[in-house]
Amino acid sequence: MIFEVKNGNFGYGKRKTTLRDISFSLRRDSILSILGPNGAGKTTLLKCMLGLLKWTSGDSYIEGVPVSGIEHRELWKRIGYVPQAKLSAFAYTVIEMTLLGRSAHLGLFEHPNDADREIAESCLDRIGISHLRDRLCSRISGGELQMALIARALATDPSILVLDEPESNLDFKNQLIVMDTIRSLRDDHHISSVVNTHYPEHALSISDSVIILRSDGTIISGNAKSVVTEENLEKAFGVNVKLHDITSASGNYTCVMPISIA
Amino acid sequence: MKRETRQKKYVILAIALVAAPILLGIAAIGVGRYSIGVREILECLLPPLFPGADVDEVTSRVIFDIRLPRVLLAIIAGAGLAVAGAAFQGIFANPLATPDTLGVASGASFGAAFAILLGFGMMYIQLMAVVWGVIAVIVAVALISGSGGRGSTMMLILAGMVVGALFSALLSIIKYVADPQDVLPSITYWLMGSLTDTTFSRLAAGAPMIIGGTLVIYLVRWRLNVMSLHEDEAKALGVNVKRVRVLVIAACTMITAAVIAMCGQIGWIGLLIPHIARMICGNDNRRVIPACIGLGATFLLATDTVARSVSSAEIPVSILTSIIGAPIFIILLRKTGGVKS
Repeated sequence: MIFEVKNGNFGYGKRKTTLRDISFSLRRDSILSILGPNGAGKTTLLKCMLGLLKWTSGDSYIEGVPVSGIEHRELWKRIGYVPQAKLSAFAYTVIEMTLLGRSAHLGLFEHPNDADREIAESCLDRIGISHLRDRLCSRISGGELQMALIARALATDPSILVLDEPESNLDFKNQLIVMDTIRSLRDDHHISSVVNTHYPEHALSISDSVIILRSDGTIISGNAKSVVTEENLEKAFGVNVKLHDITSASGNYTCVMPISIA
Repeated sequence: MKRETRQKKYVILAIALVAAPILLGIAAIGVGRYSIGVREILECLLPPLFPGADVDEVTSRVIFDIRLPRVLLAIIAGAGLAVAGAAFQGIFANPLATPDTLGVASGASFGAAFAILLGFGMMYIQLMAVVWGVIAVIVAVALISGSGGRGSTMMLILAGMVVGALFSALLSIIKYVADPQDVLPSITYWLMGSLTDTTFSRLAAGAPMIIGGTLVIYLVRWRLNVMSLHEDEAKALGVNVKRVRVLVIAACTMITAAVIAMCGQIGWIGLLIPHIARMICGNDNRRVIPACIGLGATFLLATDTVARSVSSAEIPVSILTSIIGAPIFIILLRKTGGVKS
């Protein structure tokens, strides 16, 4: 197991419990998707997993070592975090932004050197956005910005990538580009991913295992096919859902169609 | 633009930004009621290069006792304020932040006015300014510490505004009770800001704080980039956000408190210069901070030289920095649209 959460509980404030008894694990070279309705606490779950918020009880483990016991910089050399694409106060160029991924490897007074620059450039190259190198992050499309943030996370040289709704606000093609990138990082570079998503179809198509976070703060987890079912989606999201298998020349796909509010 | 041509452009820019304050400084030494030629200035400043040169006593006194310390202070203070502004804009992820965002200027002004009211001498006025400037920032930081992590940069800015307002009110009380015949005018004049009467001993008291603070920020300038992202994002890149923030705030406070203690309130530089620097060389603080040092030094030196030489009575430099700074800023914004493309 490359990453595990055991009996995690969390609540904002003293009385409310947002996440209850969360346990799941991420196998090496696999992709885990997290589904759940708005407000169920998906982002909270990601933050707790990563130690950005402290579990009230329970802990997360990287390769068996509790996250709370790992030094901050060491932890973030192993995990690459890809936030939702938002612009920062100052627009940096794509290469400057990607270089920031080297932060965990450099001390307070150190600056990135030629080796760091080469790593950053190779990350742009790996996901096919070298041509954006000198463009300002404020002057590229949302899809391109999301790719730049993935490149930045890769520059950390992580073994796990954590992505917070990476395909939200993107059009069809850009969604596919992001999904294909996540898949090829697993297949070609042995980087496992945890993906927060609003799309059950994406969870089915790219992930090895899926978690559904329900409004009461508990989860259902297991392999993708067994978790993303009409019954589970209806209970978690409160909608009537139909799953439909589609066969095309390139393979089999499952279509998830919300029909009506339950 | 090609990478090579851009590199070349930055090299030329770097040389220009180092040369500008030096050349302007030499010129500024010659300007004034008692004007001095460039050759005489060089003979006086660099005697080994001019063997056999004979500089007369008065010229040498004017240079060393009056003009040189003032020129040096303008260079150091201008650079310091510009760097402090850029650093605050970075750590608060806010292009409108200034060196005074945490209330250091209000605190320092209160301290100085209080010292003037009590009839203290120049040295104690400066000391009180520094001490109260630092106290103001500590109060602002203490107000929000322990109030939780979310949105804490916005909380810090608000705390700074509150502390600034508090010390402005205290300053008003002092002005209100001050003797309008002689104490009040000297408080008012002090607050307007001036580099008059700079001597090497005054410079020696304040300059190390400004230079030290500037050096710290120069060294951590790449970290300012990551600090300007959202807080969780910066943490997730492995940065100890709290430690960097405390270090930068401490360095900026040292710079600003020392500048205000020596020259009074000089506005605009901390906002204007970082923005000009970004328009010239992009938002990467690895280039913005060095550019701020060169531009800030040049700007304050130029305005101060104008302030002391344009009329027989000296114009307070803070008035000039605003009068010159505001239009320049607007012209640049209109020309470039605010960001370098």
